[in-house]
Amino acid sequence: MMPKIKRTLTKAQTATELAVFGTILIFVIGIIVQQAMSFHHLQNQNLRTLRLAMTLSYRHSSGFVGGAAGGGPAGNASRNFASVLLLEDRLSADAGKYGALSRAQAIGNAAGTHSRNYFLPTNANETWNLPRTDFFINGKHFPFTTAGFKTVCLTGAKSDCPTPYDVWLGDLDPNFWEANCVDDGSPPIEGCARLYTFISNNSKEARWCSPRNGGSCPNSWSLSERFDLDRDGSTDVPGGIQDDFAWQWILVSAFDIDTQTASNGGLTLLIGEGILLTGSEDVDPQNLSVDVDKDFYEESIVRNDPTGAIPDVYIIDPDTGVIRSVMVIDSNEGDLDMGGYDTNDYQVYLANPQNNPPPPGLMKDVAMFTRVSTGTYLEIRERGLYTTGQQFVRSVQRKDHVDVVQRMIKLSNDTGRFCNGTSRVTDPNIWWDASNPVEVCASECFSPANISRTCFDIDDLIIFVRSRVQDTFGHQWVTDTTSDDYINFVVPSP
Amino acid sequence: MALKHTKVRTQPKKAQIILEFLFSMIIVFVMMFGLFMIFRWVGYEFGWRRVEHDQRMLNSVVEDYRALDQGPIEQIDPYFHKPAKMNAAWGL
Repeated sequence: MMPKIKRTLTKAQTATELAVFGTILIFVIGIIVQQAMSFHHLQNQNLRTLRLAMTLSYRHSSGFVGGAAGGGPAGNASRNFASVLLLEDRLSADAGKYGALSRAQAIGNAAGTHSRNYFLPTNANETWNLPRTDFFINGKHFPFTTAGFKTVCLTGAKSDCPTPYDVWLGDLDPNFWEANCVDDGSPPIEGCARLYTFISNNSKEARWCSPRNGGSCPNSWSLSERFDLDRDGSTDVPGGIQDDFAWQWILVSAFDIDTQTASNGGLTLLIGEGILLTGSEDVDPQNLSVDVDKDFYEESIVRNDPTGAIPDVYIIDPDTGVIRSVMVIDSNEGDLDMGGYDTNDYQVYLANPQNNPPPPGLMKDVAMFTRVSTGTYLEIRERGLYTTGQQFVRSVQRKDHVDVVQRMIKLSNDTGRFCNGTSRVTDPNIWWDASNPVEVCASECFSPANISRTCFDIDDLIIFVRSRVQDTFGHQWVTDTTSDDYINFVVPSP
Repeated sequence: MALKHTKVRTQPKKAQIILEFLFSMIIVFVMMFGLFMIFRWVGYEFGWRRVEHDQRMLNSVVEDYRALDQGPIEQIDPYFHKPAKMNAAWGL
């Protein structure tokens, strides 16, 4: 009996072993290939992003983009420091019946600089020179400004502001005003706005003041005020470490040094440093980067106004030298303001999204829709065997659908570049570097009409990026059997 | 007859193992060939993309920033790479 049993057990043993070990081998190699494909996507993404950033900087600074609206042959300064985020939701390597269905994101980030327009000054309202960052999401190009122009009124009374203006400094901080600012030789002493800038602690910075300088600081701006980091009236840096601290505030009064020079000693600045708007070969402009809106970030004062902005790019009282308004480039006024946020802000948003808005930028949420109702986006077809007239043997497995991949971008400000109310903006003077990727502007981006379109939520300032990625896969064998012999089964008439 | 019949059923067919091995291995070899060719392509393509990236960056070009076709922009073309053929089934 034993030999019989053994013979029975060894039947097809080789084939079984081959099948088992072959399956394991193929599975392992398949996993390796799948992982390698992910690395492929990543490498391709990284190299392409780097080249894209360099190309953007090159093309924009060389004047190849946008024609006159993009700065003409002189080019523009928008991508002097091009920053690119490239995101693609790619099908992962898979061997399903209908091919790969799952998607994996490949994301790359790179920066590139072409120095041709490195020192190109940005004049008043030259929006094409505002810095931008570029997002490419599944083929859609989103150029976001990271700064904006703003006219700030610096007068003591709101009624004295020029028209138009964007912000009155007094709105932001009731303590903005310095009553004893400028002595013009006749009472009363003129007042001016208090602005701030910060300086770093290094041996080249002559304005630095700390205990090692004897503790007596120039311009009537004391040690305690310099190290009042949050400007709430109390010193935040202990005296023992002030000598080694990295930075300090200094007071900049809204006072024009050119007017003071022209007065031949008739004007005396009593506190802080003045602003020198013009420069020469021997003297550099002074204090052009100051915090004019009390947000603890410096803004850049615009000096040149070739086209005649209204109101003037800056307004100076010719008698007292007090600056009444300035136009600034504010890095908080662009589509995206990435300053002042950290990863904890996102956790706070996730913990209570109803009460906490998400921080600006690309959100981590991602969704993929595949619509299956009639006439929409999913079709998986397995065809029949026969058709009218001819006879075929068919085997068709075909996938033909559109994945709608949704990404979300939270904007900091509604700059009016994407939407004007519920109207999509197409002005070529605004969209000279790309076409507006937003397809619809609405309060409800999840309505049946908007669900598949890139939508700007005008209430929450969120762009829902809907990338419609067509995905076709399948195979088909067709054998024409019309000429084959067959028996025509005709059901006899009753 | 009954005894003979039983003997035939319990005896292994002649060369059955060899035939099974032959047929199975042909299939496995074909599948493994394709997989190894893909495996080979993955490594080759991974390295070649990097090499081509470096080569294109160092290519000599017309040193005129406005020479779009032959100028510096040729070195930084984002679409610099064309994938090699996989040749998993034929075409070594």
